[in-house]
Amino acid sequence: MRQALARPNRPRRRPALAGAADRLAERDGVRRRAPARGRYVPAGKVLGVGLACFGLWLALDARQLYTSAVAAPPGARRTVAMAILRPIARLSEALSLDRLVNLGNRALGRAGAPTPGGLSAAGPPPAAPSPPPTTLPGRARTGSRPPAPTRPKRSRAGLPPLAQPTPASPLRILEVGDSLGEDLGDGLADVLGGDPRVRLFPEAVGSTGLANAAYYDWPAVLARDLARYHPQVVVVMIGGNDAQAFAVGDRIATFGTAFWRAQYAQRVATMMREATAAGARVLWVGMPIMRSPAFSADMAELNGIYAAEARRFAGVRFLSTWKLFATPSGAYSAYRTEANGDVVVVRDPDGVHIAPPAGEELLAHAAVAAMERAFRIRL
Amino acid sequence: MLFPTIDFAIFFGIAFVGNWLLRPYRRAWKLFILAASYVFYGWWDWRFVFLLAASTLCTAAGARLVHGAATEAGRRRFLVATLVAELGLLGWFKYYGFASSSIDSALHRLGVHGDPIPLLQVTLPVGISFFTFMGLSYVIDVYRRRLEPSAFLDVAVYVAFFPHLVAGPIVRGSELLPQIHAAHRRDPRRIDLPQAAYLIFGGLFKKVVISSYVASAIVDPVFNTSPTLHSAAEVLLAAYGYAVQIYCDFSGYTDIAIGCALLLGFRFPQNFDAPYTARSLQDFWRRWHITLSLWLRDYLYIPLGGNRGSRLALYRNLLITMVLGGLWHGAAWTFVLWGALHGVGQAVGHFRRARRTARGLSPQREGTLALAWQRLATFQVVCLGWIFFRADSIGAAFGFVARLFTGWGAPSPLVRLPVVAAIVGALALQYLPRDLAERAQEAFARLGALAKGAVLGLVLLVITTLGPPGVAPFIYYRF
Repeated sequence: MRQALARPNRPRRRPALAGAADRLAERDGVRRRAPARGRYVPAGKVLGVGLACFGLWLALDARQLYTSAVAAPPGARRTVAMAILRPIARLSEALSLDRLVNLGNRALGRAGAPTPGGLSAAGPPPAAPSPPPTTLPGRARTGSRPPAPTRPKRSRAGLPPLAQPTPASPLRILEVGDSLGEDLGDGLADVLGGDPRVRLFPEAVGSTGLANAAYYDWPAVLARDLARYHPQVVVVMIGGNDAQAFAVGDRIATFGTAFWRAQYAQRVATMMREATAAGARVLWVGMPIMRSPAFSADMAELNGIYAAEARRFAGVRFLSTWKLFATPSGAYSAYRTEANGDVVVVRDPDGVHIAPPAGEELLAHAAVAAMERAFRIRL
Repeated sequence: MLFPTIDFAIFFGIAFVGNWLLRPYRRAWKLFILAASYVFYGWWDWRFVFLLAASTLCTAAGARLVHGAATEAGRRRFLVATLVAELGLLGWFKYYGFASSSIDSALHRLGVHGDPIPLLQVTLPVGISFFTFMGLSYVIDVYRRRLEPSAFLDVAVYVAFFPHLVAGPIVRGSELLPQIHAAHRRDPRRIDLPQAAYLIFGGLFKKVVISSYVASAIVDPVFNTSPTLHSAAEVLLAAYGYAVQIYCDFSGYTDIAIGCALLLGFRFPQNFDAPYTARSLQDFWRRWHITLSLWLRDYLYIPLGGNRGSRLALYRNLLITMVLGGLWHGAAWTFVLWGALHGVGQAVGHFRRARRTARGLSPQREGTLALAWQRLATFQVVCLGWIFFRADSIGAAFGFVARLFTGWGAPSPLVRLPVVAAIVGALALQYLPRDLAERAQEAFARLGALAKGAVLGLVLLVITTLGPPGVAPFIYYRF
């Protein structure tokens, strides 16, 4: 903590132009004793110290940095970062310099940095990350995913009806997704939190999505969450970070192409299949309208995929949230007039996220109503 | 551009080299630093660069016009025009939505059901409150004849200088302009590396490790949900945790800013001084966001009359200053209440001190026990204020406060030893002897260049290993 400096609370003297820097130094109380030898350093040496610092850090932390680079969305930035970090990471690995960080990670209870693409392998780096960093156990990986199912019959026969929740036998709801999913989770906690007939497990994680499996492997995380919480209902709200290209083997799926849609739909289907196979119903909450028309169009495209996939699975319902945050004419609105006339803010200033508390609760109430309708329960 | 990112490290490396290589060439140096600062700011959104340029133009032209006016009335007119323009920009971006929705709701309650005021949600450009306040201080200082107007390029660099641009410290014209003017005289052989490194790496540790951990372990899980979901112990720990989080976040930022400026050969004023050791609210504001409290004192409290009038006028001035200080942080009633709490608290403190002085006693009780009690009590009031500062709405804030009295006995799964230890440890650090940091810097100064680099590299490794992946923006960016 910053303790060395004296309190600058003496009355401010009338400033003059000359010598202000000296006065500031005096006010900060920065030099009370005679400076130690080596205290003042020439700029060239500062640069040298800085380079040595970053050099050492790079050498010791290269594997972790390389992993982050691999997990970044495809593009020039990722390519350059990987090209620079790969040889350093390989050297770091060969000299076992990465052991320090791995030790630290283990001590903190985290998995060490994985080596996507296999750093030790000879030959050029892979054009794309092979499936995801194994930071979590019990995963169903995208690479080993079974082929997409043939269209199942639209039937609820496979799932027993949900019992009306009671305090003795509460409804177990798992909520997953990205930062918008976090907003929904907060809203659900507000709306359902005090209800003894419900147990809510909010597990959404910001900055995640289904597109970049190397960065965050949702199918694996969902498998873990399903095994841990045994939910009867899974609420999913994800997609805000997904309008991006991703790698499939050695091929890049560019957003907006048929290939991208097919690949992304498979990932959505994997999530739905996992949850329903574990005996849970799924409420898939669509992306809301966004302030940016271009971003809105991207989200509408994702919503189309979610809705289509939801129709293919028994026990999965899609909830459109588009109109909740739009004016009657269909334009984006950050505000909403309540029944009592109060004007409340329902979206964050970034034009993307849902504003607490009014926006989050609005979204949560819609989700609760949809669950009641779809799964024939009363909350 | 966020400080704790690779992007900034590369940017700063280039800025550092250019800064020292171009030092002898006055104009080239200023143009380079200005360009670097605009790149730094435009990294968020290039459109905001125009706002920064407009604010700079307003500041420079306003000061020139004030200075060149022939009469006092003319000086005053130009000052008012500049204040209106600058505060208008700030108001539009920061307060439009708040004002229009509040007025609309009030009209509805009064039974007026006309057309709603057009609602626009304006994106808040980062740092606008900071550079607007810097510009205002410069123009007012010129009006008060404490400063001569500087050349346009100097003013442009003063307003946009990237280390202080987005979250302060709020550096006065009288502090920075002379340094910019004499930038060619900075000595490139005398950079205080130990102090700069201490500030930068200490700031990074506070921000990336402590603030992030406390936020994710207790503060966000409590404050992002309904008060009824948490026990009194959880709410209490979350309030203390937020005190630690916001201190580490904001002071971490300003430490990095001051350290970066030092490496470039500039001195910024100090912004924090162990604020949680304060023994009164008045003392707290001498230690917390010092540059803002001095700004409010010099440009708001004293012009309002300060402590020159009756005692009642003094209390009124304190309250107005603190409420406006609260509103400076954001357009929300929670900030208004936070400011009001500090205003009333300071007025009460002032009243008690005046009463003791009138009885011939020292303004505050002395002695170890009294000091401990004063510190403890001040910290509790400050944390009560932080609940309002952090909560999403006034209703939620009162809900959390009520929970402190009603929620005992409920289970507290979020109260765990590591998070309690982190909070207690971070608070205890404020009580470390003042010269400990100085001694650490001197020990570091005695190391050779390679050893210095190795030490810093290892510290960086500790920070990146302990910190979470990804960096959350600094809390004060949105103010």
